[in-house]
Amino acid sequence: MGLLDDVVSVPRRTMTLFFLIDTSGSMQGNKIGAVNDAVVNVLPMLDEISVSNPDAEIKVAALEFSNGTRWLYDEPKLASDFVWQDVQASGLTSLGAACLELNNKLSRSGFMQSASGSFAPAIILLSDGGPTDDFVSGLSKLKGNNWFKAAIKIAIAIGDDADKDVLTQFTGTNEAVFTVHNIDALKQVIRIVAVTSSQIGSKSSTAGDVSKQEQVIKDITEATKDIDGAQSEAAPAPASTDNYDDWD
Amino acid sequence: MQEIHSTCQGESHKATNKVCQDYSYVEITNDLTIAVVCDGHGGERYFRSDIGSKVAAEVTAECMRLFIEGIDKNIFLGKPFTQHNALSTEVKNNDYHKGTEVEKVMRQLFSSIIYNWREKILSHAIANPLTENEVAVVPQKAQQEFANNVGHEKTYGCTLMCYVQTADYWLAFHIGDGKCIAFDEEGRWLEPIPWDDKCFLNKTTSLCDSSAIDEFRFCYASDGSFPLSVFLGSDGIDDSFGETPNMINFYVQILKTIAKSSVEEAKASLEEALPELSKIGSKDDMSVVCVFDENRLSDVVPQLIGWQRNNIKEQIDAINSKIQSLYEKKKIIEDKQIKEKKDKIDFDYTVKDIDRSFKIKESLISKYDKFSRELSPESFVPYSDGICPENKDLEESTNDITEQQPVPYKEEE
Repeated sequence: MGLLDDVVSVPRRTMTLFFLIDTSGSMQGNKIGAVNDAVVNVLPMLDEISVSNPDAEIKVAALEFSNGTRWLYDEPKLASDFVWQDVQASGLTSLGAACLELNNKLSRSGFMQSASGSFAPAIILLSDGGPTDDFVSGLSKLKGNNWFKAAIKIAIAIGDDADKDVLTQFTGTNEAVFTVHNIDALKQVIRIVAVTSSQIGSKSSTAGDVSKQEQVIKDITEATKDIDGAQSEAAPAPASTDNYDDWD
Repeated sequence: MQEIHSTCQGESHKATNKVCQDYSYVEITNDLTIAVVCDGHGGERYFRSDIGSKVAAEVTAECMRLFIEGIDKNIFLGKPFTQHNALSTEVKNNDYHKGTEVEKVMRQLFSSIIYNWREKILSHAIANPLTENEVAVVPQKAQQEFANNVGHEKTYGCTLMCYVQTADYWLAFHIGDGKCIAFDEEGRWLEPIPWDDKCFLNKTTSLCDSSAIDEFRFCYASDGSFPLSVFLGSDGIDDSFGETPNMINFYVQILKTIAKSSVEEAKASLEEALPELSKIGSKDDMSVVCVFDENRLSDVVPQLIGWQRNNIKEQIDAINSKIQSLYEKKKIIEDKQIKEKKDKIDFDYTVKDIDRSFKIKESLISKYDKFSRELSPESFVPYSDGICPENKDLEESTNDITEQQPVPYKEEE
């Protein structure tokens, strides 16, 4: 009788990728269309990473926030199963409420399993404006959450009106805030951020002493540096590229 | 008491050509049992943690021998099972307990372990300058610190977990992650040492912390009861199993192998299983120490199998509840008729989840039946609760789940 025979369970570990999507009125039109399009297209890529990764399976959860907050599903879904429901834009930007909602789900009674069976989650925040509610209290609560502390946190600032200070507070560093100025850049950056976070976040170890967050930032910065209309603190757009907003 | 123990290099360490940084140690002499597991940290800054963990285990065994020789055992006399959180946790929770005599001597013990460990790693560092390989891979800053005799604790950093049993009392202590599990004389399991919430995901407390002395948590008992068996496992083990009952199930398999086959076979099986477990599980280094009372082990095998079967039964109950709520959800969607895309998506998810749940249940039933057969081959009856996918009236029958449960296993008098 082997010790690992059919009565012993060795489940795959899980890495959950969270999308936090600003669906306020200012996102209406091409911006929200691009977000919907980009996420639909990236899901099969996440599934590929999950299937080919012996370390962990990837699950996806999505929260939209405008006047209030809404999870697309009441539990994280396997990337292969996730059916994207197009989100619509209208209303305000309740980012503080989104922080509180995320805090609730980053727990055993929410979306997370035991720490032993999990990798730290990856959280991608997309926003084109600034919060219209009590963001400070919401973020303060969220920052006390151990899962959030350990998470890979990346923000995509959609256009110049996005409040980068707020996004920096959320991610903990301005190097994790990537700004996009046009539809094409938005789609490409969503893909790069989601794929890179999933690849690195679902691995048992990173190269050397670099944290997963640092590794993700480094790789995204490198991958986005030549995209017209994309820039970050670590890699400001060169003068020759388009770094003004164009959402038509 | 007898023991089996094994340590193996993790799958990810093989891939990156890193040495195994775990170390396990057991000594059993007359009435004294000392078992230790140490896990060296994996980052580049901790580039001699494999040596640090070996030194920590050796120093701990040495300090324990002196402690037991020198201590007035009466301070433990008649003490019931008592657990102590790390001092840092007590302070954080504003729940600080004034030290009793036992706590004071335990703190002295921890202090002595830390002091001796630091002395030994300092001697090692002085006697062993950076190797060519270390110069090639260790970050410049760490090399500079090493040359200046700064931060050796980090260079050799590791966790430490120890179980000690004498004729009069037993105690266990821990700094860092990994898990200690004890089985009592009735085959029930518990985690005797309190957990430290500072150990979360890849963060752990460590012997190399400047506040290490405040991060030891421990337990002891001297009321005449001794664990039937104690397991010490590094975090590579619990990270592989996710939920604790999965790990307990693995340990029960080890105890059953010892009882039903032999100590030698159990040891060989453990040595074979750990590299495989690392491969399919956490990829980390793996260490397991198991000490056990061979005279009492055979008596509890039925209880151990009973626990395994009940554990599966709980999972079947949970999956039945899930199936029930999925059928309810499906009915709600059907009743309001599918009009919107979201309803269609929800309906498809529900159908898929029902199918998955039944597949999981099928696998659980197979395990349940295996344990039932093991417990009582003569009176084996296959598991059945009437909740199966073929049942057309399932929605109705799920309302009666509790009435259809088989009688759970009960320990014999």
